[in-house]
Amino acid sequence: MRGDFHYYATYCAALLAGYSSRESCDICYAAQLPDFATVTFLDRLHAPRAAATTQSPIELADVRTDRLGLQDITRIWSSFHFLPYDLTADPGKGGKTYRRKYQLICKPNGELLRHTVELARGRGLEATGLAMHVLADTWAHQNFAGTPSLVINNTTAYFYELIGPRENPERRRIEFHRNPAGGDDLDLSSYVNSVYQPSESSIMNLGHGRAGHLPDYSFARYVYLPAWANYDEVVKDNPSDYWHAFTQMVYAMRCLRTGEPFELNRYATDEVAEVRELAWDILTKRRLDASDDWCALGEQLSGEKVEPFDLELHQQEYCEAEGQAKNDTYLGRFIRAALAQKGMVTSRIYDSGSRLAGFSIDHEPRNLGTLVAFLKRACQKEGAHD
Amino acid sequence: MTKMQRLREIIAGLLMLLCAALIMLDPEDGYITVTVILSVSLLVFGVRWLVYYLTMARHMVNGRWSFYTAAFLIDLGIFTGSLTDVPRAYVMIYLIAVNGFSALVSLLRVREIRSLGSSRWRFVLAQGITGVIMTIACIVFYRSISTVTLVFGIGLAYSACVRIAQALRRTAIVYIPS
Repeated sequence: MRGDFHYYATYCAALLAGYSSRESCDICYAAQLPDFATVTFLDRLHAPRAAATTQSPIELADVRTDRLGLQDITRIWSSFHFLPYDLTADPGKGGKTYRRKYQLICKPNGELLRHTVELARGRGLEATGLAMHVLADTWAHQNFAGTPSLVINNTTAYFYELIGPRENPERRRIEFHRNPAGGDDLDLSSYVNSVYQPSESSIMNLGHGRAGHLPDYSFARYVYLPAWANYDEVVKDNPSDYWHAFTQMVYAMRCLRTGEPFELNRYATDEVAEVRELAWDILTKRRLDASDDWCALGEQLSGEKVEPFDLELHQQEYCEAEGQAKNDTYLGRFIRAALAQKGMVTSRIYDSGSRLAGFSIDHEPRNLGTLVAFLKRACQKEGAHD
Repeated sequence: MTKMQRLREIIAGLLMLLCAALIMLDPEDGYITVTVILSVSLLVFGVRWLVYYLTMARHMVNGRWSFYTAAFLIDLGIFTGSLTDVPRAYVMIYLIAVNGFSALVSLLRVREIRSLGSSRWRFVLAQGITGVIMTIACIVFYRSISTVTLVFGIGLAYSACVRIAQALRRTAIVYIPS
């Protein structure tokens, strides 16, 4: 998903969930920020690196794909962009390592999503926005895992875009190329994807890299063969998935606002009825960026101007705050929410018996180094920065 | 990382350091050692690919390519092991290409990393400069067998140090309990 959905569509969803325009702005900002909070970004703010929610291409190019590097990548991408659906899933084939990677495949309405939304409860609008990013990505990024893995994330040349009427679409062969400067050409169904790398843990096999940005475009409908699916053709219907994501976001935010418990497979169909036609038009229109239309819908709903996403917006406030006061700034609360989310997902993966995401500090209390670090932080206030 | 995994990484790193020391202390005879290491490495890689195919890749769409890769690497390992004298020029060209390319990439990245405000640019710059020095050494001492083994030994020692350092790193992450 891109800024059009994470920022503007989340703004619309927050309004429909009953938040004010001001609150909705704070929520959608935090929903967009996980795509920018890299280690480089955090370094610039002197913020804790452990709170990184993404990795830039340049960071990924530098990262070592040894065990530690892979665990770091898995913590980031599984926690914020490819939330695992079922950590107990049994593929019925392959060894233990294969099974562990298979269990990280992202799909909507997994148990971890419920934990994600509940974790955001009472932690402020920043945590709500962050949870909405994770929720939305479970729809867009489904069928891929947030860990570099050829056997899970690879795809073949068998890729066809479904164009035209939903009942009887035309199948058009998708051509992939590896020149980022060339960009995506919708008229020719020509898209950029990552280079095929036969190495299991190559960074090129992280997430949906092999499928390019197709999962990120709301209009895209296509069929392909995921590496793990036994040559079964999978149909990816993005307009439908994005619509589900939108209605589930409204429902989740309503739950967080009113205190109602969040349940899986529930959608706020009533609240979104008034915008259904408009939103569906936005979702199905073929273009690379739908920001303008989502922004217009948001402004129509709130009657107020929506400022575009500005990465610099809250940085000064964070940098000028001293010590523990940083925790009370917008970015401070976002960082706390990111640490909580990452810790929760890492712990769940660890509890499932997998070591692919490493382990959290409370799982190794007898180790002297981590014990000292743990005690040091325990003496500080909750959420003290690393 | 578990204690066992840490121990395994440290032992592997120490063995690599030992090999690097042996090569650098006696560069002339070290050339044979380099060939043996290359051969064994290819065989080990080949077997690992085969295991990878049997346990994982055969369940994947188009996974048979992993089997072909395994067969090719094992074959190449056996072939390399059977050679008594690899033409030195090939090894030297390989080292020049690897070090030169890596240095160029590092130096090109420095500016970009710096513009993003990361302090990591110093480390990348140091990597780039080291790569340039290694490449120049390879070109200047093109005919010297000692240089080939020395450069290989330095590379091996560097990998060993990184491996040990990684094993000693703190691996837990700090999070706020829910």
